Amino acid sequence: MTDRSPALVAEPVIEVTDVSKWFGDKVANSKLTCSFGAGVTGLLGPNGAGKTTLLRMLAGLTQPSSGVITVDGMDPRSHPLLFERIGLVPEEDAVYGYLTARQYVTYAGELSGVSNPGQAAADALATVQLTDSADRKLGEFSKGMKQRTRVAAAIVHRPDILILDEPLNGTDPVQRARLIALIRSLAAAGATVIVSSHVLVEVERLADRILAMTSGRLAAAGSVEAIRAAMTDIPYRVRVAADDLRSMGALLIAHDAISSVTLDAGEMLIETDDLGALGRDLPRLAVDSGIRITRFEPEDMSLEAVFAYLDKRR
Amino acid sequence: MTPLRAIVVNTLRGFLGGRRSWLLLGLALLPGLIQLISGLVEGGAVSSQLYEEFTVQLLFTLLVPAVAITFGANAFGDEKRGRTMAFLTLRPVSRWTIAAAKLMAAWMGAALVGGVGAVFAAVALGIGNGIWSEIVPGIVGSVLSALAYAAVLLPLGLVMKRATLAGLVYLILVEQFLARNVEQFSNLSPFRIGTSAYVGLSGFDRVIATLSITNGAIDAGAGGAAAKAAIVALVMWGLTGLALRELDLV
Repeated sequence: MTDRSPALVAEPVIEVTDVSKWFGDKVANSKLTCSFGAGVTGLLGPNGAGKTTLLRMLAGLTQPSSGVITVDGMDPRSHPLLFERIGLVPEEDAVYGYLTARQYVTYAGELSGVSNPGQAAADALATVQLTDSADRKLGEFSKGMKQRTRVAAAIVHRPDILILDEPLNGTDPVQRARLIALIRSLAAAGATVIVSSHVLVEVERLADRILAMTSGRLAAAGSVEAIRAAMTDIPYRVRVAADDLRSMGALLIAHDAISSVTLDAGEMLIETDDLGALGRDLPRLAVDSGIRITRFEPEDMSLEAVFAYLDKRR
Repeated sequence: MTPLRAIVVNTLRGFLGGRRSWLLLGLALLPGLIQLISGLVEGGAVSSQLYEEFTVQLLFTLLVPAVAITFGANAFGDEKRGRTMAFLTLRPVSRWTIAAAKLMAAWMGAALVGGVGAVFAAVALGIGNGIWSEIVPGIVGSVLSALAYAAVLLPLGLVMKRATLAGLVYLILVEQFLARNVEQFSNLSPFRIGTSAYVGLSGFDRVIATLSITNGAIDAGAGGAAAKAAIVALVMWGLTGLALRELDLV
């Protein structure tokens, strides 16, 4: 049995091999190798991580500067017929404002070679609960309604590969739950679904598998549980102020759970792998030594910081 | 509806539903309006002279080209600005079909708006002095001129952000000055296509001389003009299809 990288799947539909993309001197993606198969794969990363560029390359909208992307063994840019199988919801909030939702989705069906585009559009609009607003102009739609219309246009030809870039943007909680259910049902029917998001909770609800990206590279890959576990390994940073910082620092350096202590602007910045132990022991140490603690504040771990950590750990 | 027809219809819907088209239509009707007022106020002889020396000139060397440049540049320009290129191109439709559909839509839009201007001017001439023979030359000239200009601007609209501006600057600087004065430039100029077709069919004897004085030697002939327009359209369709295949589209 061979060890497969967690970024690769056993039965790939889309394969990305050593792909880089740069715009001028800006590197958007760097040497990405991963694959996508049936089920939902979440592409997780902060803004600017290179998710959209990767999705655009997967869909054939842009070509890699180096490396190879194939869909069922073919280059999507030179095989337009592959798009009979692909549906894309791009990140941009873009629709033809002068069309009604029905005209827009019907147009998508006509371009996709659907045999009865009018009926297919009606079905797709019903799937995203937009039947009642189908004959209103898209220019009058809210952001969430436009998003659902774009999803309807992406599924009107019943694709078995669905690429969604931040599909839950602008949707309210009810619409979000419905879209998540829809995406999961498409995957359950055997579709390959790739969803990008910068919100971990969203991806957790959607995806069976996650590829975490940062700075244009893959930072981590695997099941939701594996990524979650990797994230809980991140050392916590706590800001502590006390009336006798030197003595407090000396006590903390000797503590097993503390990996570093630095003085910063009259306070201490403590890094620990075990926030619980620190919270439990710090008050006792302070009381025993007669030191008064005036501040104890864990620093927020932004998603960017989490990804930066994962990236550094690679 | 086939994908080709669907793209043509949607592009025309976008073109003709906006304020831009009404503005262009207003401009295209301007020479006819002047012609009409002149015919009603001054009478027959002055009206024909105005038509030969001013109206035709304004229509075929400035207004019909400007309309076609705008439609040609925006056939893809509107999709790029509206960020709908992904919607259009990620479909099982060949890039050549997309390019052909966009060219047809730009041509039809420009020919419709420019043609209405040309017909209105010819009708205004008829109202002024009873000459009705210029309607067909006006339609043919504007349709062929629209094709040539729309085709040239089609790939530019795909690769440039300000293709309309670039086209209008070209029209004013190169065609209005260089092409009028330098024989080599005038032979390459797309406006010759429209004027050649027009003078080839026109009942006015003097119009070719008038246009030649200001625009350089013009070979009269609608057939030759149609062939030239078709060649320009074919070449530009090919270039556009290639650009769609090879370039990053967003």
